[in-house]
Amino acid sequence: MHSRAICRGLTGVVVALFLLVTLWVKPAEAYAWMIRHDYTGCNQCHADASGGGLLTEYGRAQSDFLLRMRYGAPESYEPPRSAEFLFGVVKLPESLLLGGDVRYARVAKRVNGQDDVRTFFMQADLQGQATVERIKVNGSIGYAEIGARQAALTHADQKNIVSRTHWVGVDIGQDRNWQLRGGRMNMPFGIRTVEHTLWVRSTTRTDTAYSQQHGASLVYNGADLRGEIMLIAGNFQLAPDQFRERGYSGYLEYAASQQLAFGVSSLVARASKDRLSGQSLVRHAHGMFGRYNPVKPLVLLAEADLLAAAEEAQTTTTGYVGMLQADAEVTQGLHIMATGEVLKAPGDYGTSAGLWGSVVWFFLPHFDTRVDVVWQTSPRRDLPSSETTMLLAQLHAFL
Amino acid sequence: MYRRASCTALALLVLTLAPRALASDGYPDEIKQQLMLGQAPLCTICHETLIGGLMTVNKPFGRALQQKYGLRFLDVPGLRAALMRMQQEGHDSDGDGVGDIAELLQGQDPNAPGEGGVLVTDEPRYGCYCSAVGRASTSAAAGAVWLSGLLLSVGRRRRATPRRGVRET
Repeated sequence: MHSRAICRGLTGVVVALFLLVTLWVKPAEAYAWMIRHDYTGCNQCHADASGGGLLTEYGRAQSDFLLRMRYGAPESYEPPRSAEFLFGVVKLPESLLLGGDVRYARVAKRVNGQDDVRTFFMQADLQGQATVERIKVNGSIGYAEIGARQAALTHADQKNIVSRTHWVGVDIGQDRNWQLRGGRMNMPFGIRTVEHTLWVRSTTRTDTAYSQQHGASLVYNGADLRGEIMLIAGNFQLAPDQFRERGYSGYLEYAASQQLAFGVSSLVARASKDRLSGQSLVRHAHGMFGRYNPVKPLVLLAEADLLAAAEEAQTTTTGYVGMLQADAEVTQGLHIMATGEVLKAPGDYGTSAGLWGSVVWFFLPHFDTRVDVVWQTSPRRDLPSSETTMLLAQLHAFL
Repeated sequence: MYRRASCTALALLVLTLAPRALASDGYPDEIKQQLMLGQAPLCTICHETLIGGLMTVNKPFGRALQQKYGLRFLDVPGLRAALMRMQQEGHDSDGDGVGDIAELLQGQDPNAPGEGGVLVTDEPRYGCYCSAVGRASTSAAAGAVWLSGLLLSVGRRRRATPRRGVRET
């Protein structure tokens, strides 16, 4: 009987490992741990100067050189044709960048003893950028089977056409270190990471899944200093106007060395009627973040933000959110990550805590997969703490 | 080439702004103002969808305004008159014994009989709306397209005009 229980347990573990579950919507790949390869900035590899999403030609080459598992293949100074858009089948002109993401997901979640298992086609996005001299026109369009309504162009509860980003920008300055942009863009704040459901991203509403806003931004990328300030005009894929936020969001990061970068972020946004609370809301988030590569295989990412919320006819409440992530690349293309997070949202009863264990494997050019085990607990007044356990896996291909 | 590009930009501007003229943008706000409602009703009080638009009035309340009270699009004075007459006559589109205007004042949907017809006024709506609630989005989109066209025109003009004093290498 005892051995039967052990067998069942082992079988469960094996089944869980074979389950391809998913971390939902991961529309933009932003790998802040690229600092381990001496990349303190993001603009060399990404069309978005603050990181994430569509890759430049250089970024594609680096994804083949540095990201994926090479299985002992010798180093090369020339990227293979297969690293290009659509595996090099189509040769693009220099002025045109194209990309795309396809993602399939399965989520197994247990919340306070209630199980929920879903399998769904999570993402299909096409991204592109055309450049004419100093002017860039950038956009994305895709399909979201579930969620991402804030980025939707259509009006259904699910299965929507989405456009997460679309903007026009102009490079400024002799060295083109500055860029002025207008349109729908990722919010510049904190560490731009792929784990968009981390509380530092979801609570501040600065994730790259669907929390983009329309506005104007000024970006700077220098040798040691980079930053972006965005004036928020609102999400015009959300109506009526009273639900749209106005304000600003920005960050400034300094690279003290090739292995250490740290910065500050600030955000203030106001809506006449917040889409979640239904009340007039002014929300604040101000904090610090850092990226540190103490030894080659290990990168530490950390962020801590103070939060405040002033709702209609109520006193201002405060809170905080933070995370610490350790990413160990045990061999090129294979990452093992541990993440801890805490959250006390303004008005919350107490502090929530979460732990993530993740394995990310860039197993082929244009392909990666990851498995996450997530445990989160939140205190509740006069009730036992709420507890959530998730097993998430994802298969991702980018064009 | 420069003139052609600029004309294209101007044409884009006109085209992107033109659709606004086909939607009676102000009607929900006008209803709210005249009846002193807490919130403006949604476009679906008259139209098939939240987008609004011509030839899409299919709700009993909307059809009554058009057919019985002669309302046309972009006719705010006509709307005011129609609402006033509707209130005086106690018109009841859903036949539940409560007049349309009385139902609106109670936060009820004049198209749905009985207590189930709660008038939804202020929930967030997602997606692109190019009528009343999308006024700002249409302008923003038009501005972006126009700006893109203009910048392209400027870029082409600069490339066509050689810089003086700069030796070609």
